[in-house]
Amino acid sequence: MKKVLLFTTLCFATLVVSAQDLITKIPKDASIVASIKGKNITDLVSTSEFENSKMGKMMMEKLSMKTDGVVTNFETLGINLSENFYYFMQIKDGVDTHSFLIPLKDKRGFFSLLSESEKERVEYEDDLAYLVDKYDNTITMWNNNTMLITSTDKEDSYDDYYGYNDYYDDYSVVEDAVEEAKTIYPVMDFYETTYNFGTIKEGDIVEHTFNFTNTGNSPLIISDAKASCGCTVPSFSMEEIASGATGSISVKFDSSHKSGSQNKTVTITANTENGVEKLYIKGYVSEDGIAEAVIEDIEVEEIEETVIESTEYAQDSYYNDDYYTKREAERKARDAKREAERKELFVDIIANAKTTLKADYVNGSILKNPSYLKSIGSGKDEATLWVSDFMGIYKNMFSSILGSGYYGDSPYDIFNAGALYDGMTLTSKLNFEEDKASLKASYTMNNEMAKYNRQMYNGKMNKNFFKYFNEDEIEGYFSFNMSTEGMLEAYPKMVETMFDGVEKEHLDDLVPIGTRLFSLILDEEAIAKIVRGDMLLVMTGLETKEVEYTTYEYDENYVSTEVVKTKEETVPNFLFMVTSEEKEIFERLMRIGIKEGGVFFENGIYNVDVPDAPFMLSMVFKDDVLVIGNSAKEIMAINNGTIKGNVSGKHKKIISNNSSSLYVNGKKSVRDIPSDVLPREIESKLNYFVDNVEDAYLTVGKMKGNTMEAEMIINKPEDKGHKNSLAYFFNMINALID
Amino acid sequence: MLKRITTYCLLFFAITLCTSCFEILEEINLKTDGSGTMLVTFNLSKSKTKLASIMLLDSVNGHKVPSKDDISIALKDAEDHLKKIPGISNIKKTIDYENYIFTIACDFDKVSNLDAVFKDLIQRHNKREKTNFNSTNFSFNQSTNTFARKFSYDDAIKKSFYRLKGDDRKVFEDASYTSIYRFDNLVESATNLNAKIAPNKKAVFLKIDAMSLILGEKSVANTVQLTK
Repeated sequence: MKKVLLFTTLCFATLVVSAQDLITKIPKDASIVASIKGKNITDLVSTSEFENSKMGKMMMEKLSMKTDGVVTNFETLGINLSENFYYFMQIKDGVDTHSFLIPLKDKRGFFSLLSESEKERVEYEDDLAYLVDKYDNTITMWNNNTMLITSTDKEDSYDDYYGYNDYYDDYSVVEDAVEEAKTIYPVMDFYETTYNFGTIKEGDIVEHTFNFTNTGNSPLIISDAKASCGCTVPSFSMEEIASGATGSISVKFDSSHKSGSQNKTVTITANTENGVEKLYIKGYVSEDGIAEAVIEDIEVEEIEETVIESTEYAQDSYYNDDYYTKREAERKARDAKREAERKELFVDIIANAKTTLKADYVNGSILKNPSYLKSIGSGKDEATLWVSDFMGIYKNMFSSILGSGYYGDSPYDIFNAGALYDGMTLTSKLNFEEDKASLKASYTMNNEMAKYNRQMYNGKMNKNFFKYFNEDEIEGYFSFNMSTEGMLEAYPKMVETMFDGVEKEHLDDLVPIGTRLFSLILDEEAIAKIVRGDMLLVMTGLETKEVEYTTYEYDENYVSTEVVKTKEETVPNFLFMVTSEEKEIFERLMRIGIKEGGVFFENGIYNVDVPDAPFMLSMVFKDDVLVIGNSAKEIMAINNGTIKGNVSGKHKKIISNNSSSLYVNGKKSVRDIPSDVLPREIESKLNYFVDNVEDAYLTVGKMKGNTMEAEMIINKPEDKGHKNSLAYFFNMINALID
Repeated sequence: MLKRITTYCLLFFAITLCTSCFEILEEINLKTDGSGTMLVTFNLSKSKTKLASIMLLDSVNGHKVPSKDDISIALKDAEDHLKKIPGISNIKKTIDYENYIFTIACDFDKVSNLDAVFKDLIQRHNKREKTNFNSTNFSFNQSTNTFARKFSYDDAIKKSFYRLKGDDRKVFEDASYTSIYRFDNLVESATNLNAKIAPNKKAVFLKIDAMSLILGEKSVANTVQLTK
């Protein structure tokens, strides 16, 4: 975990697609891929600029202290900041593996970060070196230009059972695994390696299939098979053969123009320990097909059987009636089993790391994944994130969290969630531009889901909303644009799809009955008249109000009396606007409220005393908009038409064209918030912030095709000397640290 | 959806409003025979707008916000606890959610009865947290006519304060603790330098800001010598 943190810290400071980009080391089937483009970042803020910033200095000081002065700047860290950094996650058999790929310039820099005891534990193999951390199932493996940190989320019973201390600092499991990992190869275990075709007639063609099992502990890949003679043709499949699976190689022998005793060899090239395996065919070719000689005995290969000691009952011979002896034996057996499982895990971790670092993938790298290429492409984004196959990730997450539930293994047994969530991908891109920083995220969903989303988010924004507030005075707004009608229609259909074909508990029959009843009872159109689905909340500014409070006064003899004093309080005002065509229903409700008490009609507006709320609500129904606010003054102005709405095209667009948006007028709110409510650390820097904060907004777009896009933009203020938006961030952080 | 909007609104309210401040008032009227009355007041009235906003939320800054029911139950528990203590009688509590003022009052036969109220709690806390708070808070020696409020500062207070986030610490910045002890006899002297003796010599007043108390700069400990 420490290393993961270190990585994140480094990324901050970092980072060109070059000839040996590390992306080729990411497998095609990775579920999540994140990248940080070193050069793009160092172009915006150079390494030395960063090192000279307060944050950089602080970081370097810490690193220098940790390494006893070995690391004094980024150069000595040995990290290649002009290359790309990657993170990827892989899910295999329900186990998540998280990997970080870091480009190295000089491996000695990283090495110097290790503690003496860690240095002693480093294993060397060819040009690779690695270090296994058994506490968090993490391996750090590096060669001359790449460092890989892989961590596996394998849940095991290691820590929660018996003594953690027994194993403290005992790295024997890891050492055993390291040894075993060195011997990790696929093994081609043939049923026979020699085939004797007996005596055949010249011109006959003999064909034989050699069957084998991969008895090794990693997948087998056959890359070639050749025979010693053109008369013999071997054929094989290039597909990967998993550990434990069977495969075959067929060999065809054409006896034309041959006579007498025949001995042919087939040489197989595969990723086994020796790299080559041999098969033999022999026999006798006669003109008439009658045997002349006695054929040699078939070679029988004896396989040595490995005797696995049964740990479970290992102690049986010592068994006596003593309960503790029995328990002790059980405990040892469990320990041994656990130990064996852990060893297996480490063997896997080491083997996987080697595969990654060597980019030894049968199916190729992520660059062969069309979805990845389409989503990420070769943009100039500083950082990207791509998440494929949400379903797979969710499923995996649920089964590991919930285990077996009431209905079966996971909620996916009762939901047909795949119908809605299959094929969903997320792409996210971070961009630091000259004048703004943006973070874009786009969800691509399947046709079914897209259909429902289009129905729900095809709402219209009421233009009347813009008449009631002045953009220059507001602190911010939150808009929400949904179609109530569309939602009421789509929702039951989505539920139906979810349960479609789910036979458990007859849900596939029952659910549609429920959802159709829902649709029958509800009149979607009528409901949509009450609340159309578009709404806007505007924080209209701050108002100073006088508030009463109780305290005590004491006479000279300290007899206390309760007194009521007043103080000024800054109260934020808000307006909440909803489109509704049912003015009548609203007025009827208000009339009831007046009768019951709690609602007061005054100057054409309704004031509602909300129990427990710190403010009074004022309401008015104007045109087709229900306006609710906490400032009677503002609501009255809206009612009298004395308010002057002023909203620029830019904001009208943001509000109208998105299904949801959030805008923060940073400039104004930083100025308005009373300084005494800010955290003390910021209070003193208020001036800097007032001067340097611009604004920010977050939008969630409407459906375009099958994609929905969200974007967050933080604008950089003009003429304040910030080189670009990334430099702006650093400057702000610097101001904070100061 | 509406719920979320209200939450945003309330949060904005809670942020923009003034820092919360509160007062704690401890009043004891002591008679010559050692019996008397005690009144403890928690006054949060100055931050009532903020509290009213916070109370509508489920949690703020990651802390769960207690509901009115939770507060009422806590006060009821305190009342029940008092009822079990021998020598304590006439227990009264007031709850005012309009102004956020809560009081609890009782009569006691002997000053030592008051100690019994907290003794259990303090002893348990000391054992659990390895702190060193004195378990006797009040004493009255009838033969010498001295009334004492005891308090031993423990670093645990400072530590738990520093464990709070900056925003949470601010709560204590404008808070104060006031104690008023009134006597039938005249006051000769009071040991706490921050304490004031009333001109009629019948009351001792001590107001300390919460921060000084938390940081151990000032103490509520006081020994009052009364005339015999």
